Amino acid sequence: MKKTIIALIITTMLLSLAPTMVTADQTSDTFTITVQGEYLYIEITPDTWDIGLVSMGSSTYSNTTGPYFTADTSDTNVNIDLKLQITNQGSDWSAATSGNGPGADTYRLNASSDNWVTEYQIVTASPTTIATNIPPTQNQTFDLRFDAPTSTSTGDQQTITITATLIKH
Amino acid sequence: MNMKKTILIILLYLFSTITTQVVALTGFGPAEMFTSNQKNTEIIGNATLLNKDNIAKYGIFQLIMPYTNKDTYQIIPSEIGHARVVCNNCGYEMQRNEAIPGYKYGDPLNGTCPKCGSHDLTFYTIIPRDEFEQLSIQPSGNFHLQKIAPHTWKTVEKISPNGCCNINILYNAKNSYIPENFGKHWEVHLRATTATDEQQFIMGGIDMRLLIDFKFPLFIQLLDKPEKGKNFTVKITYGPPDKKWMKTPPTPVTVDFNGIKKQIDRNGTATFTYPQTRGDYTYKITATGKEYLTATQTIQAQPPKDNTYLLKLTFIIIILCGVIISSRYLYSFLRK
Repeated sequence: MKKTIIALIITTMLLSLAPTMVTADQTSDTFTITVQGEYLYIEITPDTWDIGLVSMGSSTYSNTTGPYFTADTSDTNVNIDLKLQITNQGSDWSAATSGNGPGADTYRLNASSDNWVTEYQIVTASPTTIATNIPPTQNQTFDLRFDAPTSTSTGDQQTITITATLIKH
Repeated sequence: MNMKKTILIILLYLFSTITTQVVALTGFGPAEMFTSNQKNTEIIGNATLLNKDNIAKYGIFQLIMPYTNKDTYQIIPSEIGHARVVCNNCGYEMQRNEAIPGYKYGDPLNGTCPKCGSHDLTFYTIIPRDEFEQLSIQPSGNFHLQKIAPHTWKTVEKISPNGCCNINILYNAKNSYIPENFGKHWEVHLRATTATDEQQFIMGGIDMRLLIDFKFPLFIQLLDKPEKGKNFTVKITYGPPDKKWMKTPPTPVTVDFNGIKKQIDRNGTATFTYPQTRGDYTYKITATGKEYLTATQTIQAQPPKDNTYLLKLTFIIIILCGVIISSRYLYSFLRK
């Protein structure tokens, strides 16, 4: 009797394993692949800086007269670098070339992304990298400094355009 | 008078345009593109600009020779350290400053992958101006583009809010197949911005790294007539498409015949066995290599020689000769 019960228990155990053995014999299975493309997205706020009245040879910081600029990269999914370039230097004044300071009818624009621990001159000739390896979704702030010309030949209003670009690090 | 003028000019107005809208809500993809010149088309890639703002905007595209002065084309030493480097061992992407810590312009391009420690790196360099001038873009959808400045195009129509504009990137490499370009890796940037009709202080944009590997086409030449069940040899060469010159590839090329892959030897040859089949089938030979444009050729075994036909031809010729000789003898006999 005892032997019969033991035999029944063993048989039940073996039968309970049967479905597992069938699963193991399966020759195919499905699995899901997820993939996402790299993309870049930029939103810069604000888009204006009303410097106002400046005296010759003076310096004006954007964060003291107005805003910090923010490059909102919250929708970007790769590490990025931030670059700035002067794409319109004004009708009568021109931007100082790389390594040079302000002069007659010539201003200088510098930028910093770390409270002026390091600063970079922004020029017309090429984009200047001001922040590197910014992690995805992290917004990047930066400040600008306008060094006015030492003298001027015009009293007309000058309008400058800067292009800020992101690039995959 | 001069003093008065000086006082007047000391006080100046410097205004930027005052607008309240957010400057840039721009998306551009892909973030980076690895490509090469192509064999039968100038299109080497395509990209999409998204206007994610709530107002319609123009799309502006500009091809840029990175890390150089746009007027003089001279390299900017402080920027060249951001040029792309790729590890050929693990595929990790980095910049020169990371591959060569403390890199200064002019230093030899010998670096180490910070991820796997490999020294097998590809350094992308600035594209030569001659090649840069061969790059352009064209619309690939419903938009029209107008060239507004050298290497710069603007959409004729505004891109609607949340709309997108697709473009093709073109490289006319017709005159670029010169030996100096062999195995070169170049970096170009394609900048995309969106703009309204109003002038803005800051425009936002995205630069896409366009990484071009210049490749020469491969050519396949059969050294033997392929016959069923017999070996035949192919010779692989590379050169310009017009075959003005052809050389043996100095870097690895793999030849694939009917699923069998072999690497070419130092003479540029590889030998295969043609399958023995009752039917006459065609087979593809494909030659590929990292520095080359792939070549493909379809081959079929030569039909067996028709010996009966040759015998018949020989027989007819002999008969004809016999007839001519006999008629000459007959003619001379009759004259006598």
